[in-house]
This record gives sequence, structure tokens and C-alpha cells, in this order.
Amino acid sequence: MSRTVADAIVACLKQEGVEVIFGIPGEENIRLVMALEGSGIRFILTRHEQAAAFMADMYGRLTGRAGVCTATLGPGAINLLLGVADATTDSTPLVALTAQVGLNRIYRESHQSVDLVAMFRPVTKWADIVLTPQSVPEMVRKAFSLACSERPGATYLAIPQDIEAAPAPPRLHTPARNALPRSRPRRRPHRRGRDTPEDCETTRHSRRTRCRPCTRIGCARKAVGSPERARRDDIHGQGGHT
Amino acid sequence: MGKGVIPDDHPNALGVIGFMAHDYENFAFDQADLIMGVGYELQEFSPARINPDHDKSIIHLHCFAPDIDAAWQPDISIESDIVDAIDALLAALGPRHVPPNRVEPLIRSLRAHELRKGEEDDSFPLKPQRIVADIRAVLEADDIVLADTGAVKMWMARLYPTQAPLTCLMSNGLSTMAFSLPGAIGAALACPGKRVLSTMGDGSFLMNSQEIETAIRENIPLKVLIWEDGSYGLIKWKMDMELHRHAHVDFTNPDFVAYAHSFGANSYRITSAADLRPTLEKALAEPGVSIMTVAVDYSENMKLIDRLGDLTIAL
Repeated sequence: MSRTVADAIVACLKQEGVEVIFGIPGEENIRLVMALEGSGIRFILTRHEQAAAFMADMYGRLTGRAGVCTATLGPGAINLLLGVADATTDSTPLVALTAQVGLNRIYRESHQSVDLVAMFRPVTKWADIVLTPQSVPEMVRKAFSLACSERPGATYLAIPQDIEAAPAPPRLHTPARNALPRSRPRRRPHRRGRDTPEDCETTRHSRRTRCRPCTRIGCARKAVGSPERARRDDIHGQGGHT
Repeated sequence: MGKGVIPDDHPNALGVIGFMAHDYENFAFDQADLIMGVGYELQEFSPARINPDHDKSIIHLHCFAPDIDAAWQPDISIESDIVDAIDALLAALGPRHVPPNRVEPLIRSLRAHELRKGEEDDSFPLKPQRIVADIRAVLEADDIVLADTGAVKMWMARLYPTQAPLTCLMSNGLSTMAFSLPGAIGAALACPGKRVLSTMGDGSFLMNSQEIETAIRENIPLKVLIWEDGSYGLIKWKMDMELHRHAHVDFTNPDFVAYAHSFGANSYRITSAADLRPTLEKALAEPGVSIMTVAVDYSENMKLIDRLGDLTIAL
């Protein structure tokens, strides 16, 4: 069987270091779920999408890496919303992937079609729809990068049914795992142990003091205390975007 | 969310804020002239609760800037890696002597007394303080407990002594019900080898208990302790506090032991105060999924409000 966009998405998830995905397959994302077979990524089949999102939520909170959940379009996606919102409001990295009706019918009144991007936008840091196979590596990278960078939270990608089933372009450029989305400023690498009060600079217009921005993924909030500090450095090594 | 970042046995720890009434910790904020928020996110807890008159100096430290809030206008806002910022501040400031005050030892003793009294309480249904004390006695410092939203969260957040970050997990920004049972499955996969206990009310349990099947099928050691009172207990509490009566909060439950058993889980009903601790120990030690249910005496809820009210007047 030739390589599809679903396979390309799974390759991107592997590139992100995803080890487990929580969710329920539906008619419109069967290729994605099938592409996970043999990928090394564990699929935890749940009995409700809301629960899948909560599982990804707590997984993300504890590991500092984005928990991943998936569902089909319409009802499946709507059921994910609560856990996705919980991740964002508790600054937890999470990536939600759902199916959407195909681009060949999304523009008209169409079976099971609701505007999922509009629905997820208020409860995520970024919500978008994959409009072309070529965009998959960049959009998946952006979803993970934004979810994990401060302030951590959830991101959402809708994958139209016909895009998922389309052939993957022969030479898909996969961005490196530390590539930053262009919309965000590239920051200087963080050098451990070199921040001193002298490094802080006071802005001219306020009394606020701005130290060198934190560039590690995971909630810095979690990082007070020695075991967490050690783990934070692990996180930095695995998925930091400095 | 930060519960455990400063260990509760640290001499300067005063516990967790966020309870709906003026709780022990609030007395410290009442007296403070400066509040330093470290990793504080405004969505978790309104700053008006700790700075009602907008008269305290504020230092805010996080890796992103806080939202604009009349009660939280930082005099200094540091956007930085938190650990590095604290290291830098400590290096710059050196050791400081903090003069003793009257309120801090009082807060610590009130909290310790409440928990100790709970530990020794053998009544049935169990006092919430007793359940909290027994969970703490059974779990190691690095084990993880998820406290679901509801009256359970109030008791766990207030009283559960937490010694390490990310070992007492709650939903705070959104404070959703029913996250903790599936959340415990996610936690077990995130931290293999650690013991994970999900604790929740009967309301939350029946909202996502279908995932017992997921845990059994995927061979994930899900451990659940249900606090059973046959009502949406936190809402009843709030109604009783503000409206002095309650309505439309009571329900009936299926037999949770039979229900869990029908999934193939180990299931237990706690029938006395003395029964809780050995049952928790057994459930946490055995392989597979274990569901426990314990009847809780939520008449303690309004007694707590009365006690805190008296304390507010006295102080």
C-alpha cells in the first residue's frame, strides 16, 4: 500500500517522540489509527473521548511532553473538548488530533460537519486545519512546539478525511524537532547557571524587570525542587526548542 | 497546582490557599505587606482573595507575564526560568533572618491539629479528615494521588500533606469533575513504577467509570477510592453555606462493589474506619484494577465553615 498522509502524520509523531496516544477511532480517521499499527506508538483505546483527553492531559502534566489524544470528527471531537480545555487552563502540554469532513464537502451543508477549528480555538493555544498534504510536517511540528513552549497548553489539528487518505508527497521535508514556528521569535539558547541579577535588564517604561526568557519546555512552575529540576533537564534534552 | 513544590513539612510551609471560605492560610495573607507569587497563575485562584484591598506589594515570578488584574499589579514582574531566578535571588540576597510572628505557628498548629484529630476519629461513615490522613499514611512521598473536583478536592487540597511536586494532582484552572479516573490511567503510563491513586466523589466516579474497562484491557494498575455520600457534595455545601438549604443535589448509586466487579476489577466496600487503611494497602499492593468505596460523613463540611468563621472573628 502506498504511503498516505496518515502515514506521514505518524512519522511526524514519531519524530516528536510520541510514545502513547489516547483515543477512539471513527469512520473518518481509520487510516491514521491504522497507520499507528507497528509504528511503536502505543494506542490506548478508550471508552469515551473525554476520558482520552483527560488521560493525555495528566500524561502531559507529569512528563512535561505533550500528551496526545485523538478522535473522529463531529461528536468524537466535541467529546474531546473538556479535557483539552482542562490542559490549557492548567498550562499542560497536549496535542489533540481529530478527523474532519473532507475538503471536498466541507464548504457546504454536510453530514457530521461542524466548525471544529472554531470550537477548539477558545480552549487551545492554536487550532487549525490541515489543508494540504505538504503542510503536515510543519503543522505537526508547530502543534507540538506551541503546546510545549511557555505558557504550555493544548493545540489542535483537524485532519480532513480526504487529506488523511491522500498520497503523501514523495519528499516531505520533516522539520527538526527543535524547529520553532516562524510566528514566534527565536530565542537565545539558555545557558545554565549564568543568569545573575546583572543579566536582568529593566525596561525603560516600567518598573518591571525582565530576565532572559525561559526557553525550556514544561511548566517552570513544576521545576522548583531537586527531583523536578533533574527531570526538567531531561525534558530540555528531549524536546527543548532553544 | 503547586501543591508539594514547597514540601508541607518545610518549616516555612503554611499550606494551600483556594478554599471557598477564609481558611487558615488566609490569615497569613491578611497580615502580609508583600506577596511573592512564584509560578502563580491567576486562573487558579482570584488574587482578590489574598489582596482584597489592593494594598500589598506584589512580586510576580513566572516564565510568562501575568494577566492584568486590579488585585494583582506586580511591583516587580520577573519573567524567567523559575529555578534560575530563585537561585539568582538567593545568591544576591544571602541568608536572611525572618522575624518570628504569631500567626504562622498558629496556622501550622491548627492544620496539624485538624489532621491529627481526623487520624484518631473512628466514627462511621468516615470523617473526611480521617480519609485524608489514611491516604497519606499509606502512600509514599513520591506516590501520586489525583484528587477530583468536588468536596473531595476541598479536603485533599486543604489537608493532604504533600512532600514533592506533582504528587497531588488536581484540576484547578477549569476545575472539572471526573478527570481523575482517566487521569490516573494517563499518570500510570507517564510514571511507570510509581503508585497512583485516584480519589473522587461518587458524582465524578459515575461520569467516567467506563474507563475501568480500558484499564483492565490495557493492563494498567488503576486504583480508585470513591468517597460516597449520594450527592453532589460540594454544591450541597455551597447551597448550605449561602442559601441555608439545598435542593436537587441528591442521587442514588448503584452498588459500586458489584459494578466494579462486573468489569473484572477487584472491589471493596470499607465498612469501618479501621478498615480503610488495610484495604488501601491491599489494593495498592495487588496487581490489576482495584475500586474501593467508602461512606463519608459530610456533616463535617458545615462544621468546618463554622470553625473557620469563629476563627476569623477571634483573630
